[in-house]
Amino acid sequence: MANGRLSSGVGGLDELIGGGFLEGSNILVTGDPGTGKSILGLQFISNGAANGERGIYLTVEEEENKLASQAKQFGWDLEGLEKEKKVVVNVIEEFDIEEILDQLEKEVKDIKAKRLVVDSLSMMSIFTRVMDPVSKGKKKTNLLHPGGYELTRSQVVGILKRLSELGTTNLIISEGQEISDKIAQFAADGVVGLGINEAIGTRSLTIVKMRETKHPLGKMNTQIGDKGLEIIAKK
Amino acid sequence: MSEYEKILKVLDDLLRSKDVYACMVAKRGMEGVIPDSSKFNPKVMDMWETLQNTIDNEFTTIKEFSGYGLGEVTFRMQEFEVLLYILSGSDTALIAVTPALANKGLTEVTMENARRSLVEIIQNRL
Repeated sequence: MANGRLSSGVGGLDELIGGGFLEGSNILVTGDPGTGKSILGLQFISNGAANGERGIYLTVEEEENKLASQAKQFGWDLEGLEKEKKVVVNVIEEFDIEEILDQLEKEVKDIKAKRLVVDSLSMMSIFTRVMDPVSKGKKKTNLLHPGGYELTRSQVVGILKRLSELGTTNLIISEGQEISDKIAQFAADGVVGLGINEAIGTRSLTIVKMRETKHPLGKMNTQIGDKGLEIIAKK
Repeated sequence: MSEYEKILKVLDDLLRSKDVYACMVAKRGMEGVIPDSSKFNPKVMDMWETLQNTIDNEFTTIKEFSGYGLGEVTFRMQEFEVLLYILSGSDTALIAVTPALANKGLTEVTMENARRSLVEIIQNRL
């Protein structure tokens, strides 16, 4: 049976990707800092919650209150949605990816979440104890690398597989600059690239890939308006 | 009118010049404003991918030296000449694809006027 679609929440995007993101898929959102990746994540979660689809926002980068104030700029009442148990903002404090994923699995079941935002894959590499691909997760490597730990291909694929098994539709935010981010681009079901030209104040969105979906190629001009990210012109 | 629309208008006006086959305002990765390519002269479309890749490579030089006052970069490829007019001190340029044998003086004046219009739009934004 064909999967349904979940609205991205981005003005003008759904009609270009067959009605939204494929249910149960892993969508990677890549872009440099300041391109609007977290806004897209908040937009996806908040719009879903407004339509009765519960969501989890997993972050290690932002404090919960910073996210709430960012959301407020666009009229998304994150705190209110949390109180109504439509959204859970999970600020990671664990330093073990497996434990984070286990906790996530429990939360998805608890609130019957349909949407998940991981903000971000790049930051996951700061976690020093990760799944050992050889032992298929039974053992954990205990490596402390100065300056960070680069996730291997198996680990990235393993994380995406675990996320996929949650049954949620997942937006995974990535800076797109580390090797693990490049690997994730191959392993993800969809890749959305965000860009910015600071000199002239323009933004873009590119659908790099989207499984089982006809979509336009090339950059589309976007803007961050009152309601978040929106497409203003197709090139 | 948004900045994007203002920039697009400058580019649309530039495209009306008979010797401007294609144009855009962009930085590395072609990040910027590119008019609808259906408005471009069909002559460039066969080469468009190659021209874009070649233009993109020029941004390495532009990013490194625009701070030293690099103003323009031009190159010729087959029957085309590509002009990159850097927006002062930035990593972004106004780009036009012209015929290699175009009336250069006229094209340069048109490009300079367009660049000034863009700088004005940017300064009003800041």
